[in-house]
Amino acid sequence: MSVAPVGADVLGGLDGRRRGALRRLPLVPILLLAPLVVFGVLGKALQPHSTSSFDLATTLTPPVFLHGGSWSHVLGSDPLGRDVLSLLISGARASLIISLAGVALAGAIGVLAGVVAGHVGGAIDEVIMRVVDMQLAVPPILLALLLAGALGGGLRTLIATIAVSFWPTYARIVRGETIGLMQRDFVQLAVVAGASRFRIARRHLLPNMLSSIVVIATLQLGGAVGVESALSFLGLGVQAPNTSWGLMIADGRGYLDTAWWVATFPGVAIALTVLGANLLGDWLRDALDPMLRHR
Amino acid sequence: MVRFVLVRLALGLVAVFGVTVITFVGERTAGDPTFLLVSPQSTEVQIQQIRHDLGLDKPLPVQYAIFIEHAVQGDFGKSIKYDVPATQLLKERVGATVELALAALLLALVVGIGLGVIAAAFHGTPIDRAATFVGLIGQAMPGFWVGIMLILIFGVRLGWLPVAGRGGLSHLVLPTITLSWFSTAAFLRLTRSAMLNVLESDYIKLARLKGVPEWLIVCKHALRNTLITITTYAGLTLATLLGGAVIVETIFAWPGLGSMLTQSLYSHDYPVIQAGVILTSVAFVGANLVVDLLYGVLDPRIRHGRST
Repeated sequence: MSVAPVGADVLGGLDGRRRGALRRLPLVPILLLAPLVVFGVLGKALQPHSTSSFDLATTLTPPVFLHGGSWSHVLGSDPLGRDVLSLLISGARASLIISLAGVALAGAIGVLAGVVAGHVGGAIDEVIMRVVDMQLAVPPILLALLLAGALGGGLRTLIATIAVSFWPTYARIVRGETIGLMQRDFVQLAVVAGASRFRIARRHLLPNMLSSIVVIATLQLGGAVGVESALSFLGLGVQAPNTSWGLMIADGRGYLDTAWWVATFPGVAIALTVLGANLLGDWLRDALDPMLRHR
Repeated sequence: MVRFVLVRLALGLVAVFGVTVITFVGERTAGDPTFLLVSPQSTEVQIQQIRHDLGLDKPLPVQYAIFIEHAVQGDFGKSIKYDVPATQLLKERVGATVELALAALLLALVVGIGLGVIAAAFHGTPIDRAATFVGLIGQAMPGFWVGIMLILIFGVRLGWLPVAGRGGLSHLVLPTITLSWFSTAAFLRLTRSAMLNVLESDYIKLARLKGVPEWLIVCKHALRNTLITITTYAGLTLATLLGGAVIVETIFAWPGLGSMLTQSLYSHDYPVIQAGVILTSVAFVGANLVVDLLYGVLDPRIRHGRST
């Protein structure tokens, strides 16, 4: 299934290219992610047409390269006469906000849980890790469906769903790193010197695992875009009149015989964005934290 | 070993238990199934009576306790929508999902491993780069969209294959490709990188020095050791496929567990959701456990001394 299992991409990679990777900027991922960021931030200013008004005179206009197409709707228009390109631009905003916020929230919860579990240990560690294990007891997409169903559709639901599905990955890795770091001399010295637990976590633990956290977060971005679009496709995510790529695919599904472009282009947008995020994650992992690929 | 299995089973049970709590609270927050049984003419008294009959007027913890008490005896209640036992609905549907998941696993294994081995054997050549590219793109495409594109091409345009329902082999083709899409790409990348690791090891170099033909080195010496990694991942994939079936079955109107679960979610048919989620998570936990055990069997260097 397309929705990448959390942190799934520990598998493949760029063998032998690791050396000197930091010196070379990842041009391809940057190019692939640029539209998401530019359209997501600037949004409406770049839309050729408004997506909130309907124009029944231009319903299902084909893209410009097909017979009957025109430059006014480069990628065609949907059943309501809305410009597909403008919808894609507006959908980028939803994807950007939801995936960034979801992954950030997941990271915050997961890092906190992981540091506490690894640092405090004992019964608290046991409880946190059992909750983390629940991730292994239910398929991610099913968990997302249940949560989205319970919270009702919408932006906040999607962010919460992504956070709840993705945080255990951080917790597991951060806990491991915390336990490893606690045995190191400089942390032990800080303990002997009487530093508080909070200070040790903030000054000694977190800075030393920042690169792992950044790598996981980037690898999860693609997965978050996938979860957002899948839930919106099923009607449990972004709701009309708001737009999202998943919702566009659901809309276009009923018009495959007359207007293939409505369902096709948003899928291309998702695939390129997820590809960009995965490649950027792979690059960051190889550049910052080569050990992470073995976990 | 026995201790390891028992500990893992206990932990799995705790996890499944946690999932039931989430499901139970979640679905009762999401909505009320009473509307399934209510007509526009129903009076407030009748509605209250229905809620009472369903047990929905009791406090949530009490409802949960009753549910668990019945569930451990194998009674998951009756579907509110269809008025038949939820377990019977599951039994009718589970075969279709298992069929789809196994077909998808088979396809992913054959195509993914095949392409991965070819890519590794031709490491550094355009063939390798093409396969790597296919793997990366394949993992990035959303599965539900792949399904819709397949419907567009092979159903709508070419008219070669049926796009909905379950029937002969032809009905199985498109859902299987859709469901296996992501896993095929994952197997490709996994096989390729595992093969490349193995191909660098000393015993392969020795075999080359001895003059063993390269195809034999790739297909026998290297692939056999790569299979350890692949087998363990295959178990996890089967679990992933069971989850992925939720969306694929919805797209292709495949009469399996997944489409039943989504329909039940929309109609808030509590007993069916509960039974379906428990069955799926038990299968998921089971697959994870089998994977861990297989890992120890296939690779004797790994021992299950510790519990975590």
